[in-house]
Amino acid sequence: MFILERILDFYVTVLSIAFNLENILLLFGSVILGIIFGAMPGLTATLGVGLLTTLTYGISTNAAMITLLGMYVGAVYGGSYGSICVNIPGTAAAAATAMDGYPLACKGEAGRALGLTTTSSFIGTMIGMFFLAVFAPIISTLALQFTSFEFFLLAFFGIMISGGLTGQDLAYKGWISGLIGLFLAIIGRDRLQFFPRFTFGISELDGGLEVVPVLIGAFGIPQIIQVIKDQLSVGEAKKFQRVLPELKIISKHVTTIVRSALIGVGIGAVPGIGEDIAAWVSYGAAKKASKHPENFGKGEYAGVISCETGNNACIGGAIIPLLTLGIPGSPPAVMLLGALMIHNVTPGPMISIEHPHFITEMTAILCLASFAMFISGIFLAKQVVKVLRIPPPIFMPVVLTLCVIGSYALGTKVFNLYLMVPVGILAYFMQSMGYPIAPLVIGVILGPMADENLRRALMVSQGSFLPFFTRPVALILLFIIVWMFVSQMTFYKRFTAWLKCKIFKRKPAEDMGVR
Amino acid sequence: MEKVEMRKKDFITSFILIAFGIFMILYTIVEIPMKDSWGGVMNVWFVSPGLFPVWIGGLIIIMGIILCHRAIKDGGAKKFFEDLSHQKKDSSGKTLRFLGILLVIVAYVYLYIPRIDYFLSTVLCLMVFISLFYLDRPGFLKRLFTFYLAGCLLFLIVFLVGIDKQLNERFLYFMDLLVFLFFLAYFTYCRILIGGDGVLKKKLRTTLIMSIVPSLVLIPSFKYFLLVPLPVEGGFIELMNIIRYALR
Repeated sequence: MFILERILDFYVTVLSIAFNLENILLLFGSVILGIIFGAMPGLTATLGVGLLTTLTYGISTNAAMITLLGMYVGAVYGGSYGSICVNIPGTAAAAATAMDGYPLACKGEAGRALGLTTTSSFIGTMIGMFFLAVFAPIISTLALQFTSFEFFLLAFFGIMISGGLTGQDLAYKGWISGLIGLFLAIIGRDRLQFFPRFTFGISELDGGLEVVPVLIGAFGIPQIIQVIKDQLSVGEAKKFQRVLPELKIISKHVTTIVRSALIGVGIGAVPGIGEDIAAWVSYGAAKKASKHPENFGKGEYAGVISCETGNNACIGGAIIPLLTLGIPGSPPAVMLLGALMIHNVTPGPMISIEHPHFITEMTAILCLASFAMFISGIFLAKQVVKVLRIPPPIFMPVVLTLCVIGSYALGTKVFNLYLMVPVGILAYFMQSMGYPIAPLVIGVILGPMADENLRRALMVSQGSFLPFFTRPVALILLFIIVWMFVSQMTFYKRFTAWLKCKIFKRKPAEDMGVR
Repeated sequence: MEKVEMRKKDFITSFILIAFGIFMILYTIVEIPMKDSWGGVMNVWFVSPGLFPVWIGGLIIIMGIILCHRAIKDGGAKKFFEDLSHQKKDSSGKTLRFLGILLVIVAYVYLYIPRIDYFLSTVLCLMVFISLFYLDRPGFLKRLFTFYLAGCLLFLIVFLVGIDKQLNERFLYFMDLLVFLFFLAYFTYCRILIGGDGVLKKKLRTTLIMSIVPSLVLIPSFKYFLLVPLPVEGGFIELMNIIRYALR
């Protein structure tokens, strides 16, 4: 009965949103804008959601979530346009799509490739939505059992895993990035005793760094610098006629779709990793499982389907920890968290108590956004692809003005701009030296949570660290954190190599008495 | 080779990180009370606002040391000392491009936005930013960059000395007018550089349109629909207000 009630509640919510003209206009508008943002190289889903956050601060929370989720879904899907038509992915999440999408376009099948990505993205988003609907309430209920000990370790775990998995060079560069984010988070007056930390007497820093300008700076400025400095030029887009859903081809790859969706949701649920990793892992899994892996990279349909299903399923997965634990699962989800805070919705275990209907609303919006994305993709692909013709030296300066006014508008403080620029330049240099930015923003977001919960936890235990070892969930998290750290050390790698050698030495035939 | 170059940079940044970590810990110890009372409340170390910064600082130092060790192991330190004796010049032009982007962003945010009409600042920023990289001919970037830099330095001196306030007292939008004249001078300079080249003339026209149109769309949207008070509402925004209220 409870399940039926939930399902009914979901359908009622979907219909109440869908039958409001303003909501539909917002939804389609934001999805199309998201597709454009995703299609254009240099613009990312994260930046799109961040810039739109500013525009939505004056509207209702419901309308804001429709706009932002529409942008998120549209942008993740839109990245495939650049990948297929010009072999330049619009977003990092679509980089894997270019591997088989562009060869398909070169064979004259650009329309078919876009049809496959549209349908796969739709299915991936819907599966992600399903997992959000099913697991978010469960995790939210479980999280009510967590205390300050678990929350401190969760925050730290989020930074560690985000740093470890997003680092292209060394894992500890990701951790350093996270620690810098934690430092940025502690600037200002602390929340428990209101003592100024690292403000250097500047009164504007008393309230700490505003999250949205820092995020816009960290994601927007490096992109602008990189695209212009590296003279990224977009070649002539491959032409295509119609975009069709290609259901026949999709039906032959059901296993690929299910596998990729599960990978996408799983990776999305891990803090700070995001859609690009989900796409590559899905692609790799599809290639491994394929009977003809040699066809991958030459225009294999499964290659395109796996990437797009994985990266769009990641959206639902990323929203699960965001809503239930207050820990964003991907960089665009970080922006969503910023938006939720602006609208006085505090994600975390208390969300099902303070806003009991919120998870259902988010699920319903995600469902409608995926339909809007599918319709927009099928009918508007030809028009949207034209934006790829705009040279980067023209649209990147316009993006800069959007970043500036977006950062300014939230607090109407010029000081936010003064902060945005150095953070952006720092982020650019960090990226150029192989430091990932996602852990930095995760650190900025989770820093206050880690700080407060550490001190609260120690207040409860009167300075004792023993509960970290006696509480089961805390012990597991601590163990994982320590293992993640130790696994990157040379002595550990030598030890595991020696252990494997020892284990294999026990298996030779002479030991088993067989010659 | 690329890996060794990366490790060389890591070698440098490891020292920066260690120094930063030490700074964090020292600042915390000196400025933030770990014990004693603050604001009438008795403090203990585990409640102190200094606990988290000390912990983060310590972790940054450890990470810096690990990074330094890895950089030395992978030949980064050796490359650093080798390169110190043989200074290489960047001939790819990327440094100038980077400096151009930096100049435009820094001038826009720190120089013009706090003092000049927001619409005019934005149009000038777009004009310069687009023209620097869209009018893609050898030598153009350097000349336009030098011209813009000279103008920015001049305005910086005017603002630092305080002449702008005196001028604005005589005529309210004097500085806006000066910056507008600078914008016209920059456009004229671009026109001179282009000469009779038809393709570049078309690009310059596009640059001018793309400087004005997005500003005309964005700024009124934020001011009149989202009701965001702009940083400086000078002569051009006043003109927008007049037009808007005349049309109502």
